[in-house]
This record gives sequence, C-alpha cells and structure tokens, in this order.
Amino acid sequence: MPDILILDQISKQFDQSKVINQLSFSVKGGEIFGLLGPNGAGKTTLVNIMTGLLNADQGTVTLFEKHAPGDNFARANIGLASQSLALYEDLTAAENLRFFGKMHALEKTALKTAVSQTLAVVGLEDRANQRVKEFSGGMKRRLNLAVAILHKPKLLILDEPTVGVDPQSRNAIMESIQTLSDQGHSIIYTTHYMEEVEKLCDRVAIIDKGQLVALDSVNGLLQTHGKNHRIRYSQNNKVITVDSDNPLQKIRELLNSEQQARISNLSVQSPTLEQVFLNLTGRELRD
Amino acid sequence: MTKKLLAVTQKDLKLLYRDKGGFFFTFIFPIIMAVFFGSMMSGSGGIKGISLQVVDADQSVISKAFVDKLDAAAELKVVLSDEATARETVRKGKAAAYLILPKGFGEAKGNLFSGKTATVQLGVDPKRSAIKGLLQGVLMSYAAEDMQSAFTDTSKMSTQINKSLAEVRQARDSGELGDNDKTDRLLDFLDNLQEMVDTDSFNNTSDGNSTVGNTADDNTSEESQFNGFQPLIIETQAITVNRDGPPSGYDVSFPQGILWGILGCLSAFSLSLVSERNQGTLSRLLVSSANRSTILAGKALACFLTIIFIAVSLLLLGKLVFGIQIKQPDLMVLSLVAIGFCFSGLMILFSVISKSEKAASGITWAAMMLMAMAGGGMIPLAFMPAWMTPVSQFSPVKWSILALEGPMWRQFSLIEMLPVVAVLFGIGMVSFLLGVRLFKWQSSST
Repeated sequence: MPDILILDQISKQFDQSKVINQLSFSVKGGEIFGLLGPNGAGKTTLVNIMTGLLNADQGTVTLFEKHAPGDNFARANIGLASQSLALYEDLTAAENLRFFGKMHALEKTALKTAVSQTLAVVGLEDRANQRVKEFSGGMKRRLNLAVAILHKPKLLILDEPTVGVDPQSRNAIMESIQTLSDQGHSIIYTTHYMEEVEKLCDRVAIIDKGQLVALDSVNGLLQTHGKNHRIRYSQNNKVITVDSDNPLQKIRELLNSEQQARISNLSVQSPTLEQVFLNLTGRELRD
Repeated sequence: MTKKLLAVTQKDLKLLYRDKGGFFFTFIFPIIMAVFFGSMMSGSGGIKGISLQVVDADQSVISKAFVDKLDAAAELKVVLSDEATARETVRKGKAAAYLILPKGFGEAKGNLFSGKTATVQLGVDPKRSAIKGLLQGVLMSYAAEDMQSAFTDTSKMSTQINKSLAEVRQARDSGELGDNDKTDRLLDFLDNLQEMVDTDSFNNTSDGNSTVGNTADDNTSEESQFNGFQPLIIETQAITVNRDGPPSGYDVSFPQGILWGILGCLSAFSLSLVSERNQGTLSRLLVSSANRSTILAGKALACFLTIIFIAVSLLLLGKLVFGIQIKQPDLMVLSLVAIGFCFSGLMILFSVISKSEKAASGITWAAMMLMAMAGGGMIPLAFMPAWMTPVSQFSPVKWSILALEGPMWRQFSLIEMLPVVAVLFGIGMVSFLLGVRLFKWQSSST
C-alpha cells in the first residue's frame, strides 16, 4: 500500500515556542497508526496541520500521494473525530449526521443510507431521533465517531476518541475502529491509553517536545526500548520490585542466594508500552 | 456550495428555535417592548434642546423679537427656515417640530384686550408627540411673558387700552356684539384701567412717547372680538399625512420593538459562531468540504431570514391588533431587506471579533446598547442632549428605525428612502467583508 500521508520536516511555532520541530514520518494506506505523546507534545497541533486547520511554518505535508491539506480532495477524504465533542446538542443524532453529511456533499439517497449505516456501526440506530443533549458521555463519543466516518473517508483521524467513556462504550468504539480498518480505512489514532494502542495499532510514533522520539510497531518498540523486565516477589512479608534487562540472570541470582527460602510469589512482567513511553519521554509531570 | 450554505442556514435556524432563551429574546421580548412602550408613548420627561424649525413669515419687529426669545430659550434649539423646508425636515424626522409665525403675527401680538389674538402654527413629529404639550407650554409661557411686559409698560398699555376701547365701541355700534351687558362691563373696565394708567397710582407713567388716544383710524373692526387675554393661539398641524392625521404610539413603538428583536437575533447568532469554535464543530466544518465563506454566508442567511421573520411578524401583529399604518408596503420590503442585510453583516463581524462566549455576549450586548441608545431605540432622540444628534448618525438603529417609519407613516418617496437603505446596505457590506477577512486571517494564524 502506498503512503497515504507524508510529513516532511514539519515545524510550527507559536510566539517564541516551537511546538513542532523538524518532524517527519509517513502513514501507510490501510494501517492504524498510533500517535503518542505526553501533554503538550504537539499532537493536536500536528493533527491540525494534517487536516489543514493550521499551516506549517516549514516542511511539507502530502496527502493521498499528491494532495495538500485543505484542498478539496483532501477535505473530502479526511474524517476527523476531535478530542472535543463536536456535535450540536440541540439537534438529534440523525440531524447531526444529516447536517455534516450535507457539508460533505452527500446527496439525498446516499445521505439517508449513510446515516442509517453509520448509526448502526456505532450502535445508535435506536437513538437516531433523540437530541444529543440527552445522550450519555459514551453515546456522544460514539456519535462523534459516527460523524467522522459518515462520508467514508480514506483517512480517519481520531484524537482521543475514548476519553471519559465507560469500558462498554470504549470497547464498542474500539470494535468500530477495528471494523473500519478491516474495511480499508487508514486511521491515525491519538490516545493516552496504552492498552488501546497495543491492541489496535500497527505502528506507533512517539513524539515529545515537537520531535519524533520513536517510530515502530508495538513489538518493535518493546524490543528496542523496553529493555527492563519487572521482577516482583515477596520476602519477609514485603513486596519487592526489581527492573532488569536480563531477568533470567536476576532470578538465578535470587534463587541461589541465602535468602532463597524466604522468597515467595515470584513473577516476571514483560516490558509494557507504558514503560517504553516513560523511558522515552521521562517521568516529570507535563502540563 | 449553495446546498452547503442552505444546510448551515437550516441548522442555525433549528438551533435558534430550540434555544428557549434565544427564542424569548428574539421573538417574545420585542413584542412586549412594542406593546408596553406603545401604551406608554404619551409619557413625557425632561426635555433639553428640542429641535424646532421656525418660519417667520411676518418678519415684523415683534415676530423677530419673539423668535429671538425662543432662540435664547434653553428648552429649544431654533433653526430658522422657510415653510416647505420646515415641514419636510420634521416629516423626515430631522427636527422635532416646526413653528410658523404667519403674516400679521406681530400686529396681532400687540393686541391685548381686543382684536385678533396672535396665532401660530405648530407641527410636531408624531413620533415625538410626547413633547407636543411641552412645546405648547413653552410657547405660551413666552407669549405670556410678552403680555406681562406690556402690562408693566404704561405707554404700551395706554395705547392698547385706547385701541381696544375704539374697537369694542365700533363693534358694539355695528351690532357685532350681541351681549350688551357684557360689552358695557368691558368698556367700563377699559375706561377705569385707562384712568389708572394715566394717574400716578399706576407705576411708571408716560415718558412722553405715549400714543394715547391715537386709535380712531385703526381699521380693525373685523377683529374686534374680546380675546380674553389669551397670549397666543397655537394651531397644531398633523405631519406626514394630511388626510389621516397623526399615527398612534404603536406606530412608533413597533419599529423600536422590531429593532429589539433584531438586536436579540444579532446576539444569538453572534454567540453561535463562538460556540461552534469552542465546541469543535467549527473545526469539523472547516475540515469538511465547506469553505469559510460558505459557513459565514450560511450563518448570515439564517440571521437575515430570522430578522425578516421577526419584522414581518411584528408588523402583522401591529397592523392586525394595534392598527399601525404601513402606507407603502413595497418600500417596506426594500427597508426590511436593507435592515436584514445590515444586521446580518454586523452579526458576522461581532461573532468573529469575539474569542469566547462571554466575550461575544459582552461585546454584542455592549454594542447593541450603544447602538440602541445612540439611535433612539431606547429613548427617543428628542429627549436626549443636542450632541447626541450627530452621534446618532453612526448608529444603524437610527437608520433602521427611519427605514421602518418611512414606509409606515412618514410617507417617504423612493428617492427619500434610497439614502437610508444605502447606509444600511453599506454598513452590512462593510461589516460582512471585514468579518470574512478577519475570520480567514484568524483561521490561518491560530
């Protein structure tokens, strides 16, 4: 599959602060591409540049092989589910979908079909005529996703689509995303939930302070950056945790030591994406 | 593009009608305002600087002195004019009233006890009917001042008494006065008064300039009715429509009510763009196939249609229930389109300027209040200081009210309407283009 999005040496500055700094990567057609980064890393700015809402100060963005963000083809083929619930609360679910469908130039029959199909995808077909302000948070999130996929975009950009929803709604949203991927949509997925990335994404980019710090598949990231296994055991009624890049050697040492008889509940945890993320971006708080 | 524009319009109209607060201030509040102020329109207040067009057709010393006295009055702002200009100026709402001192005013003003009483013609802008009584009072008080000064000037007094004695006797002898007892009593009173004036008991005796007894050849027999010491007769004249008389207070309050509805509409739609920005729907629209101009034009069209709906609804209500006049429906259509265009453009500008909903609310209401106050939307301009008149030229509310009143009861011709609607179209166009430009600049720089 050819690259559906290519970012080349993108930089963006607000006032004196460089939010994106010489950032480059590409997204392949049909893949789910995870975009991770701590707060303030530049994810939303990057999303805005990809969608044409913002212009980059430097660098180029190429969409669908030859298009620029903001041109008609690009706009017609991008779906955006932003972090905020971009919905009209006083309209019903169907009215919201119909309105945004018209904005994507869907005509009567196609629009009607798209609305009913999309509502079915996100499990809201029974709530089509209910006003959004009466929806739960999870239902609103699902509708937010529905609006983004209504016009069957080639590239779907999901900016934290599961934030603040219950496990059932999150599961439903993730299933919908997987279905869309199976149908051939390319998806850029930003989130702070590492397990979602591990479960969904084919490749993951981690950015920090506007720069790309890692880009690989989840396994690749774990192998490259997840050096330490976590060994946990109880000794004298205390729980002890030790990180080691050679867990077998460490366990041998423990079992051969004089304290061996007092060790119990020994477990070894493989490196996680969260550990990788923290290794790469540090542990200091970000605001 | 048209379909997208109409989709934005349809969506915004739905949202407005489903927002109870917005609906109230856009549709219900203006009706309350129109009816309430219509019923209160006879009220009055302190007046300073009532603009008065004065026509001195007499050009006598007395008429000029009377005009000078009016000119010096704090309550009035006198502008000398000819009759046609004076009537037109008031009809167009550019002056509160006109006053005509007809030929013979000076001579009649000299009559104290007999002869024709001085008569003036007063025309008051029906929209400012509350000041009619006040103007009458002001004119009467200055006329009475003149009479009082005549009583304290013995030479004038003596001349007047002699003149009156001659006139009354002539009228009695010719049989014009039916009640002889009353006439005799008046003649006795004038004789006694003459004696008093000629003696030292009456202060300030003649200084040698007296014209006592010099009344025989005064040819005023046809005006010899006893005037009862009335200083002035004020004939009021209807403005605008000679046949139908002045309009009611509702003819004044309904245009104001329409403007309040429009201002409510302006507020609601200005907030909508800021809300869209904050809740993320604007980003979603900008990512979609709709361009920025389409989005703004769709919103402006929704605002325009709502303004037309408000205006037509209130005009219909006013006409059917309160009997307001709409004399030129064709020109009213032109006015409504111009007003709708003007305020839709302003809405776009206000909505783009504001960054947050609070800011939008504050900016829009502050601007609305200033426009309404300066334009006579809250208090008629006649009740405001003189310096407000030039300020009001900058308020679209003033032009909108004029655009509504022109076809209602001011009977503006098309030529007279054109400058008014041109101003409104101009404000709307400049505001819309500024708004679109600012919106594009904001979108690309933040």
